[in-house]
Amino acid sequence: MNKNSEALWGLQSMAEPIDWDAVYAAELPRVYNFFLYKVGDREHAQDLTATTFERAWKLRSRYHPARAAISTWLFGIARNVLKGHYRKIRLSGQRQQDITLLEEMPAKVDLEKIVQQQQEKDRLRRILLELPAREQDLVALKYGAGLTNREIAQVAGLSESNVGSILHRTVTKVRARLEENDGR
Amino acid sequence: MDDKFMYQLQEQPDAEFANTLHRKLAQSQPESKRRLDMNILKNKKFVQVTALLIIAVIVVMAVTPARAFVASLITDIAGQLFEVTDDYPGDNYDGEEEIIEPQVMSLAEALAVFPHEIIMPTAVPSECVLDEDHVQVYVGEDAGPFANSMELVWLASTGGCFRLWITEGEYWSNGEIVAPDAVEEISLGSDIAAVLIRGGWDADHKAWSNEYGQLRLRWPVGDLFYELTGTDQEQLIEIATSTLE
Repeated sequence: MNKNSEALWGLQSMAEPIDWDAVYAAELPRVYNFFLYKVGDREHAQDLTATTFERAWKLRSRYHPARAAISTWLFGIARNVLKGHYRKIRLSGQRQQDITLLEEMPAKVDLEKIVQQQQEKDRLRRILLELPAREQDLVALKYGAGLTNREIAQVAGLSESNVGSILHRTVTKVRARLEENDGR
Repeated sequence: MDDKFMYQLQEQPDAEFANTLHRKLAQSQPESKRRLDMNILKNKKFVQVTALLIIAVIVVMAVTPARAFVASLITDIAGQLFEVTDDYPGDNYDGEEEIIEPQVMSLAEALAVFPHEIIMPTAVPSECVLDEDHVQVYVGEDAGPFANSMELVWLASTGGCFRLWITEGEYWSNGEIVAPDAVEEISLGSDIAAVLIRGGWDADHKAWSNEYGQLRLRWPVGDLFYELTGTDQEQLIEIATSTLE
């Protein structure tokens, strides 16, 4: 749990009104990065983030702090939005778009280094998108959204130790595949 | 475990996107606030109608034959009230029908917003799979008499398996209207009394019907009532018993 989340959780447990602006500021980057890790491109990540927050804002009067942390509730909605997105893609026969992330170039650049970093990111992104759905989901929650294993366990309905082992196996697998690519 | 490289795809959302979305959200109001004024009007009307009904009931109950007649219609079966009649009740209500839409959400969201702990059945037939993406939830002011209820559906490849309705049960407290002999008491485990309701009102024929073999098994779980709907009595009892273990 990051500092902002801790502060929010503290507020809720004291039964004070929720500061939804603070929730937005704290959770927007996490939700956005969750989607970025899941779908691999900014445009879709922004659309899905917007849908998640609009849905959450509409339902916010029904949120019960005693029942779940804000992040558990919000990422429950985010995962549901994502399922709807995949369902729409399946129905329309659309293919997952290729990743088109463009890095902004600083004024003075070591071009070779920038290109190398960009290639590394692209490789990682492609490997993540090829992972099985559950592993991809946990990676997006952990490394995209920055959730702790405990928070992920609550969101995904798994035990904390199960989350830890799946993530450990997945990271080892991803590293091996990156090294495999480097060797070629 | 060195996993720093996994974070390298993280980035800050575009500032313009973040500001635009924030402005849009600031203009939106939660559902309950948007409907507040309408609810106040509804509540006023509700209070007036309730007051008139109470006066009418007091007047009727003051007459002894009428009191005896009313008492004979209300039956307590396994601690649950039923109004038993052969008359189709659908035509007796001439008010405007109000349709209350549920919120459809995932199981995780439903469990997060529902104000009670839910005990899920464990003895579910292997061919039946819970539809976790479409849980119908009634919470908040807009849910009216269905407030704090949810419906879960288990599906099989051949179609529906059974459905589970979980509620605080307040809308049953006045007695569900059923036909004679439609309800029987059943024991779940050693000490939980449940009711089994066979069939339902057929609006086309304006009569009670058991044509489709529909069964409903209803029993209390803590502060809630659970009601299973299916066609196999043994299966429903087994599923229900698993919520009590």
